[in-house]
Amino acid sequence: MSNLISDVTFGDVTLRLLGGFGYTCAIFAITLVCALPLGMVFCMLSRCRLKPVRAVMRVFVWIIRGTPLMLQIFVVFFVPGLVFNVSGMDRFLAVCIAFVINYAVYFSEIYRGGIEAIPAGQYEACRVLGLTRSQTFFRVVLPQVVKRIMPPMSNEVMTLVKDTSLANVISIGELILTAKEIVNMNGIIYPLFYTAVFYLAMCGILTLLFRFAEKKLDYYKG
Amino acid sequence: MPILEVINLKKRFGQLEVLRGVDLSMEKGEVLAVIGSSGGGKTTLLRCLTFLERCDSGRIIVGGDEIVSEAEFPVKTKKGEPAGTEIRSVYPNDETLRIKGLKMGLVFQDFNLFPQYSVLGNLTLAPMLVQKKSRAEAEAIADEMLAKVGLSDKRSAYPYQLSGGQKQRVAIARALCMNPSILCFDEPTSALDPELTLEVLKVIASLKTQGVTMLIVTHEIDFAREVADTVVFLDKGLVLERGPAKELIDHPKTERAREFLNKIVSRAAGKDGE
Repeated sequence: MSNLISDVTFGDVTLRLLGGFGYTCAIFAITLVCALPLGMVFCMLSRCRLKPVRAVMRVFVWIIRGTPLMLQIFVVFFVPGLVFNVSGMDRFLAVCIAFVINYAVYFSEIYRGGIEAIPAGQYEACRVLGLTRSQTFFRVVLPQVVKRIMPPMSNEVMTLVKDTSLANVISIGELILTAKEIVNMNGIIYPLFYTAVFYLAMCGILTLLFRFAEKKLDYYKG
Repeated sequence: MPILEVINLKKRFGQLEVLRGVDLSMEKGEVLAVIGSSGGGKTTLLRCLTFLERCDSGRIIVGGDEIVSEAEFPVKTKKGEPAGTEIRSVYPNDETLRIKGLKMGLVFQDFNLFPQYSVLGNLTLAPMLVQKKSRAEAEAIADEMLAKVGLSDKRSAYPYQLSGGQKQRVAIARALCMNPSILCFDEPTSALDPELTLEVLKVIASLKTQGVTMLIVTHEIDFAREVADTVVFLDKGLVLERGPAKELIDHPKTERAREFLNKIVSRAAGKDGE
C-alpha cells in the first residue's frame, strides 16, 4: 500500500486532474456557446402567437426542468441505441446534447422573465415613433433585458460549472471521474478533495467577469 | 381643410362600449383639449388616434389622407347563416400604418423614455432608424427641439438623472423630432407634482405660440382654459359638448358638463383652503 502512495507525486496528480479539467472546460464552453442562442429560440417559441406551439413548449419545459439532468444524460446516451438500434452513441456528444438542451431550457425561462418585465410603455413608445418590430426588440427591449437577466444568468452559469461533474455517470473523464480513478488506483483520497480547487478557481474567474459586466451596464438604471 | 377629422369613432372592449360614436375635427395650429371624468373614453380615444388601439368602426382622416376608412362587411350568425351587414373600420397593412402613423405624435403620461439611451440617444433613435436621417442631421434636430423645451444642458444625461418634469419635457422633444402633424398628450402632468406640472405646462404653452397643432387629454382645467382654443367634453364615450375653451369651461351648456366642472372647481377651492 505504502508503495502505491509513493508512486504518485502531487505533480502527477495535478497533471492528471488538469487533463480532466480540460473535459470539464470543454463541456462548459460547448454548453454555453450552444445553449445561449438555443435558449433564445426556445424563449421565442414559448411566446409564439400560436397556442399549440406554446402548449408544446410548456410541456417540454416541464419535462426538462422536472427531471434530473443525470437522467437526461442517460436518456440521450442509451435511448437512440435502444430505439433505433444505433450502436455506439458517442459519449461526449451525448453529454453535450443533454447539457445544451437542459441549459437552453433554463436560459429560455430567464430570458422570458427578462422580456416580460419590460413595461408595455416601452413597446408603445417604439410604436408611436414608428420603429419596426425588430428595431424595437434589438434596439430598445434586448439591451434592457440583458441588464435585467445578468444576476440570474450568473447564478445559472455557476451552476453549470459544477453540473459538468454529472458527465462522470457515463464515464466522461472530467475532473470528478479522473479524481475517482486516481483514488481507486492509488489508495489516496486527497485528489477527490483537490478537485474543489479547480471548480473554485473557475467560479472565481466567472464571478469577476460577471461583476465586470454588471459594472459596465451600471451606467443607467431601470 | 381640417388637419384631423374623426368620424363616428366606436370602440368596445367586450361588452363595454368605450367610444360610442365620437366626431372630432381640428384645424392646423389649433390646440384642442379633451376633458371629462375618468372612464369617459378620453384615453381610449387618444390611443385610437395614435393607432395604439384599433377602433371597431369610424374613420380617421389626417391631413386629407383617410388612414382609417370604413367598409360594409357581411355578418353571420353563430350558426353561420348570413345576417345582414355591418360597418367596420378598415386599416391599411401594418407597414403602411407604421409610416402613416408618424403623422400622430404622442406624449405619454409616464414618459416612457428609453432608460439605456442618453437624452440625445432618445431623441435621435427614431429619426435615424425610421426616417433614415444621418447622425449629424438627427442631432441637429434634437438640439433644436431640446432648446425648445429648455433642456439643452441635459443632452448627455440619462433619464434616471432627470426629474419627472424634465423627463416629460424630453418626451415632448422626442415626439417633436419626428415632426408629427399633430402632437397628442395623454394626461402629460398626471404623474407629476404641482411644481413640476407647471414647467411642463409652460413648455406646452410655448409650443402653441410656435404653431404646433396639439390634442391634449388633461385634468388641468385651468390650463385647458388658458391654452386650448377648443375644449371637448367627453362623457360615456360621446362628445357631449364642444366649444371655445373659455366659453365651455365658464358657461357649460349641458348638465353633465356643469356637474363635472363644478366638482373640479370645488375640489380646487378646497385645496386652496387647506
